[in-house]
Parts: sequence; C-alpha cells; structure tokens
Amino acid sequence: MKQKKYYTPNTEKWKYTKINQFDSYSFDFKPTNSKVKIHCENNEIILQNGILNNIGLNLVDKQIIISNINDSNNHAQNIQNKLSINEDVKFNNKNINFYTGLFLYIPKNINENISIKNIIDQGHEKRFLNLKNYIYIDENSKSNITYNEETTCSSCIYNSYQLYVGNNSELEFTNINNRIDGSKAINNYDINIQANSKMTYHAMDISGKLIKNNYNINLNKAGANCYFNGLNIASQKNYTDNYIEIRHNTNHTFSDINYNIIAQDKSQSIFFAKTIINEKSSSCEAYQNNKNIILSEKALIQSNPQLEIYNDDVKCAHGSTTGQIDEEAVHYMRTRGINEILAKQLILHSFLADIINKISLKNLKTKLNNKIENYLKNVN
Amino acid sequence: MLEINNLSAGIENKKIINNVNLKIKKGEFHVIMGKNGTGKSTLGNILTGKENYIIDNGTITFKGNDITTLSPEERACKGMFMSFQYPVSIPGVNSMHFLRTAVNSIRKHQNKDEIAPADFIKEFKDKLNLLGLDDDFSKRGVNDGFSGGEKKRFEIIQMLMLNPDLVILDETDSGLDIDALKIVADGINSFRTKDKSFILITHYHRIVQYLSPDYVHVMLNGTIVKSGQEQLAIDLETKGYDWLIK
Repeated sequence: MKQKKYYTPNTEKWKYTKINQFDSYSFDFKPTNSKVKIHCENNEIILQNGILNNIGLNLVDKQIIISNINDSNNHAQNIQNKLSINEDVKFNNKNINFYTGLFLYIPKNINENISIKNIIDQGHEKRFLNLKNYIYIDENSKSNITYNEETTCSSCIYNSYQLYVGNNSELEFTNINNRIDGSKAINNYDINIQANSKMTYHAMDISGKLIKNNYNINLNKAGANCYFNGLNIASQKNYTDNYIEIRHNTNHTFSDINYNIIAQDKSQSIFFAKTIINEKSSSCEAYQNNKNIILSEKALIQSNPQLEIYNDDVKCAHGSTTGQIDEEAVHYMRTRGINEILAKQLILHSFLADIINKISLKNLKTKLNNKIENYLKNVN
Repeated sequence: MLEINNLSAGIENKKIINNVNLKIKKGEFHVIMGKNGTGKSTLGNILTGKENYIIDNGTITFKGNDITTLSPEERACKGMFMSFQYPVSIPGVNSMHFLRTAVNSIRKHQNKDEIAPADFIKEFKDKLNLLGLDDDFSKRGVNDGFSGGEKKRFEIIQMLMLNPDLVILDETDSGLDIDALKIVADGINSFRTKDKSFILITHYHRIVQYLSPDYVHVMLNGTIVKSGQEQLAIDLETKGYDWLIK
C-alpha cells in the first residue's frame, strides 16, 4: 500500500476533501533566503516564505523570543518541556525534512500586540512549501497577534501552527489570508488553552484555489475559553474546507464558534465543526453557529455542525442556516430609494461585519471592512 | 399628484385589482377601507413597484409622469413612500446606516450633496424622540427585535426623514396601543402640508378620527365600490360592508 505523505488518522477531517489529489505532490520546496530587508513597523515581524526577514523596534530588547523555527530547536524544546506541551505527532512528519517558519515566545507578565506578515513570493504548484509557526504565550500575559499571509505567486503551502495560551493569559489571534487565486494550502492548527485563559481566534479566508483548514483545539484546564470566529468568501472556482474540532478536556470550559460563509460563482465551501465534551467534563458550555449565503445556482456550501456530549451537566447549542439573500429585505430597501445592487451589498456587508466586528483592534477592523467593501463592489 | 387609470393587476393567473380609478391631488388625504383580502395592500405594493405583480391593464401617473414600469427605488426617489403593514426585519443592517444610505440615495437623485453625518444624526435623534423611541434604536438592526408598535413608529420616522410627496400608510394603526396610536397619528399630522398627499389603508375609524381625511373609499373584490368623506368610515364601523355588496 502506498504510504500517505502526511498525517490522516481521522478520516472525518478529510470527509469532504479528497486527500489523494495531493499524492503526486512533493514536500521538498526550499525557498531561497533573501538578503533584502523589508520595511517593518514597530510592532511587526516580517517573514519571507517563512524565513525571518525583519523585526520591529518595539519587539527587540524584550524578553520576547523571536526566531526562525529552524534556529530555535533548543528554544522550542526547552519551552515545550517547561510548559509541558506534547507536540502532536502529526507535526512530526518524517517525510518533511525541510521547513521554515516562526518561533515566537511571549514570557510571563507581558502585554504586547504583534503583527506578523509572511510574504510568500516563491512557490511551486506541486511542491509544498512547508511552514511551521509556533507561538507560545506564557502565564499572566496578554497578546493580540495578527498573522497576515500574503501569497503573490502560484504556490502550495503545508502549514503547521502551534498556538499555546498559558494559565491566566489571553490571546486574540487574527489569521488573514490574502492569496492569489491559483494558490493552495493545507493548514493544520494545534491549539492548547490552559487554566483561566482565553483564546479568541479570527479566521479570515478571503480567497484561494484550494484551502484545507484543520483546527484541533484543546481546552485543557478549568476556566479555559475559546471564541472561534470565522469568515469565508468563496468565489470563482475556489474551494475551502474547514474542519474545526474543539475538545473540552475538563470541567468549567467554554467554547463558542461563529462562522459565516458567502459562496458565489462555482465556488465550494465547507463548514464542519465538532465539539466534544468528555464524560468527566462537567459545567461546560459549547455553542456553534454557522450562517451561509449562496449567491449563485452553481455555488455549494456544506454545513455539518456536530456536538458530541458525554456529560449531562452542560449547556450546549448548535445551529446552521443557509439561504440566498432575502428578496423581501432587498425590496424593502429599494422602496426607500436604495438601488438593488447597493441593497444587496448592505445586506452582505452586515453579514460579514457580524464576524469582523468581533475583532477588538479598531484599525484592523476598519482595514478588513474596507477590503470587504471592495470585494462587494464585484457582487451584483 | 397621483392618478390611477383603469388599473387591473394580480399575481400569475390571479386577478386581485380590478379596474381601479383614483385621483389624488396635492395636499389631499385619502383613506381606503375594505374587508380582509380585497386588494388594498396589493394596491399599495403595486404603487410602490413590487416586482412580482403583473399589471394587465391601466396606468399609474405620479406628478405627471407615467411610473407604471419604474423600479421601486426610482419611485422612491421621485417622492413615493410606503409604510408597510409588516415591515421586514433586516438583522445586522444598522438602522441609522440604512436610513442614511436611503436619504443619500434620494439626495443623489435630486442632485444634492450627501447629508453631513452630524446633521443626519441630529435629525434622526430628533425624530426618534418625536416618536417616543430612545436613541439606542439607531444602533439596532433594521426592525430587528422591534415590537409591532416600534416597527410602525420606525416606519413613520423613515417617512419624516425621507420627506416624500406621496405617503401610502398600509395599516399603520395595526398593532398599536391607544397611546402609541396617538403618537403615530401626531407624527403623520406633523408631516402634513398643502404639498403632501396621503393614502391610508385601514380597517378602523379609530386612526381616521385623528387624521381628518378628505376622502374615504371602500374597496371590495379589487374594485373601489364607494367613495365619500369621513362619515363613510363612521358608517362602516356601525354597519359593516355587507350593505355595499350588490
């Protein structure tokens, strides 16, 4: 039997996206290191094809550790030992022997906002660029991190993220992907949330030919909270598959998923969420809410919100709605003088703003709202 | 202001409006009463350009121009407004942003500059206060979570902000308690001038008494069968409609 080139123990994760389509892909793309430093803002980290390029002045001379993942093997190992993180076996893919990416460690009692920009300007259509981004927030710290992946060439990326939120800490992480239409990506996220801590994750997938996101979120200690907000705008023949698995591994843990999708043209988008509350996890709360708008006859959205509950002392709810733009609402607006296109844009914008407005950074919120306004100009 | 000539219309194969003729001059207030399902709201919807109705015959002339084939937004921009019987909820679309977009769309049609945000906010809040709604309504989604009475008041606020020439009030009194009815009627009366015209569709005399209309019409089976003055509404309250059916 032919061995798969990457981890697939849970077939549900790959229920909708056929994994064998990547069989002919290799994992050996090595980007070359650029010697030209790219301008960076004070709180910014610049990566080029996953290789550290520049670090903002505000982030230097602090206890924060910022390095290439390749350079930080000792750091990574020490910190993993210190924080007792067991790296998920799926990231130890023996077939991947070359990778780039960021190692970021925010130590105890630090409050810092960081913007990470990863410019992907080298790639190959059938050779994966392997990225590993490990981000650890130690105890009593608070950070707002924006990760912006800008793909400017036709490429395919295999991306492993590890995010860790220590005890009594808060992380708001916004992941924005600006991809050219030909790009493909498989993203595996391994997220661990510890005691009395809060992780707010914003997933902003605007485009991409084939995007497969696997989120594996663990609420490990009492008081762990996860707010997962997602937005996907699918157009042309783009394909996005999101699998979100949240495990409530102990008592008094909380999760809330809100995911909105707009699909137009011949695009496809999948929302598959699975929240698991273990038998020994009492007094947990878990919510899933998925809302979808289909704009054309040939667009397809599949929604699969699942709750697996093995404890009686829980509060849980899940729901999903899929439909077209409400024509009655459009007519109502038109009777107020608003033309049909603008009326539809207002409805779609509010649908997307529902997710964007959950972002706490005002500038980022404005930037994303503007981006969406531009996108909506092409909707009619 | 408005002239409806020999109008017959319906949905698919069902005829709802049957040879309606109605002339409304500047400054006049007309009331249309009638049994449930006789085509009153359909007439309102056709006047504002709802697209799923098919006009078999007749014309609608508004301010001297034939508007029979115009889109709803074109009619609104020309000065026509309808207060809906069941205003639709649009969750997520902020009420203030929606109304400012509407005001600016109409201003653009009139070749006027967009209203300054500060001026709009002040005017909007004044109107909210006039109709007894608190400022928080500006932050809520359009009609989202509004009670029946709040929706009707918000319709009147929209009327005041958009400043139309012809107002169609479709059962604006339904769902209102006695105090709210008085507030809404005062809001309508505050908007009445010699240049504004009104059509009120209603089942009850209780709102008519506050508005002192010029004419009252009775519609049965899609046709206007009798026209008169306010006394006709009082007679209908006591006698019902049967005496008008031939």
